[in-house]
Amino acid sequence: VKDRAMEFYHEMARIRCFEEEVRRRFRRGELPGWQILYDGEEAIAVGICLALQDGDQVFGTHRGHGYSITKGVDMRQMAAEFHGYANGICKGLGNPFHISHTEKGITTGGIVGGTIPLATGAALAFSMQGQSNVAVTFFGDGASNQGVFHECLNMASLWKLPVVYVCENNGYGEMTPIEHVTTVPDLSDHGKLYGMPSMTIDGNDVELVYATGLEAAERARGGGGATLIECVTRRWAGAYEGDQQKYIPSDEMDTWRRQNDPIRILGERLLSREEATQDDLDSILHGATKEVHDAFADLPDNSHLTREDLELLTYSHRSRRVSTERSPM
Amino acid sequence: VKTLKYRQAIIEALREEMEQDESVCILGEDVAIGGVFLATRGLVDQFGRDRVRDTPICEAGFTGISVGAAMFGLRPVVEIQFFDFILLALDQIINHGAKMRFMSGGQHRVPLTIRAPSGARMEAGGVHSQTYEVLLSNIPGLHVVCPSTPADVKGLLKSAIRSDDPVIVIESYNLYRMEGDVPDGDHMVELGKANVVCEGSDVTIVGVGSIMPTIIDAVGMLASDGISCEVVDLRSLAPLDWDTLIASANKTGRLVVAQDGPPHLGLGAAVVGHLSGPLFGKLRSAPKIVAPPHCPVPGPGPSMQIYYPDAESIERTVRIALE
Repeated sequence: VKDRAMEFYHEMARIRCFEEEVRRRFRRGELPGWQILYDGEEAIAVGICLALQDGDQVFGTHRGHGYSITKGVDMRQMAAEFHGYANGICKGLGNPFHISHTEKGITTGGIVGGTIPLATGAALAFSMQGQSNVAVTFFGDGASNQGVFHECLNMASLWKLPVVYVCENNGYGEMTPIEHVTTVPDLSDHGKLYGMPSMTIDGNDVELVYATGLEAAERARGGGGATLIECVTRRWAGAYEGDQQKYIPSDEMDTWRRQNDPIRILGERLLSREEATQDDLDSILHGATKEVHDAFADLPDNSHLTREDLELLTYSHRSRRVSTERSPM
Repeated sequence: VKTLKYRQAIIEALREEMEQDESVCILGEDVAIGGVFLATRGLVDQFGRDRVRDTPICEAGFTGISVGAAMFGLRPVVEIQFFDFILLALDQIINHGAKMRFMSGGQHRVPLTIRAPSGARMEAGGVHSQTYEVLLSNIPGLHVVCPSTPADVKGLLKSAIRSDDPVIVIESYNLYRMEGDVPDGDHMVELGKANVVCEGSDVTIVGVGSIMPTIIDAVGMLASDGISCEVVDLRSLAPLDWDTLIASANKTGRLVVAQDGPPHLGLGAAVVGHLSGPLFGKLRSAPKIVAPPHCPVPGPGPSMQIYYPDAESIERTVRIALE
């Protein structure tokens, strides 16, 4: 348990440091496009992804860096992707928030709720092919009002598919509080209607998220069907990096950060359980900071696709001829 | 060679591909009992309810699920009961299925077939009869085919199922009872190849899908007057066989496009626009487009009778092109 908790701490620190580095570089104008950051929600990606096995598939949201990092995607390839370089994970074509890494089992999407059917379909494929893998999809509170959310919960329940639905209820869909757009008190209530185990938990308690995720994943793996987990949290960066968040009462986020920082919560718990010293925690943070710094340092910027490459990558029969392979970093 | 109905050719293509490849499965509304127009009839007996899977009525959901299943090992064939209902699934098709390969830098593949039969010329009203041949042909990452004969529907459907990309197969309910010769064995038709249905010297008539029998009727009427028409059935809209089309129009020097879809920025506009470069100065008369009026498809009755181009209107247009 101790080693596991230290791993949680390390993985959450890696995400936090990565997002802070992306924010710094984005604000300095070094990264093109947009950035949508995950800090504040680290416990969910880490708790769920570490409860999975090789071959399980994770489907993320547009706020998708955390899942990729925890699934082991190389930060340097992510950094290259954010610059739009051809040696990025998706040849610079998934930038900024559509990172996929098939070997690591991660696919993200930019439409609210859009990956819910993809995960459900992956679960159908696992089920029909007799594989023991599980599909997990993350989505925000806003996605719970999308039609495909309900359509997929219905089919997953009907066909007992090995899928875990993880709702990151961070309180706001775009810039509107969730309670302004639904009368449903707990978003996990939706799952109960479809007859699947459903629960609302503290999304900032990584150990609780992990335990809940593990139980759901093992239930799915054992043929027990789908689970809906609502994780209550907050997004620190707003809808996108640069969002002034004027729609949020000024003291709300300060209080939230003070009281519900998932990294601080786990750190204090580790100290009080005497499973770590402050030096241990500082050392983890220091290591993560260095890893992130190295990932972004001196990226080669000489790899670009041609217009022809772009067309070749659009269809499979053409892609076989594409010359641009992922070049070594 | 054997004679099959269009509908039977669909079943045969599905059966052959499902026999050869266990990853091929069917999803859609009522597919287990054969679908409303019986294009999956009998398959459930051979392959079971897992592989011939009835879905709830939720096109976005089950199409999206099929995209996800295609990304992870299956080759799903989705039946959208009427082409009109594909509109409910466009986010999953366009924002996910069509660009998953590209946006993942070529890592993902989506071997998905979507059968979307059009109810054109079926007297089924404004939301069960629409023909948007070009709507999805404008989306990078999708293939779109529109077979008009039993042989073509079999061959193109089999190619679609074996493709590693999403393919939209726009069938036509008005053709389901059409009989035609289908070659024996593993009959395949390559995606992106047009068919010169009949050779001629005076004019090239271009069409696709549900309107093809009407074009053939018009050609018969013109032949009795000694007018020699070359008919190009595009069969595939994305990719489109421009080479065959350009060669034909270059030869005859006259071009008429006939379509069941709306005219504004439609198939005829695209064909004439594309050919205006390579054929600049080479046509003997202005290209013509025969199309419905730019309005929704009317319900059954006199208004629908004047909506779709008939053989007479195609014949009349060809005569104008020849003046």
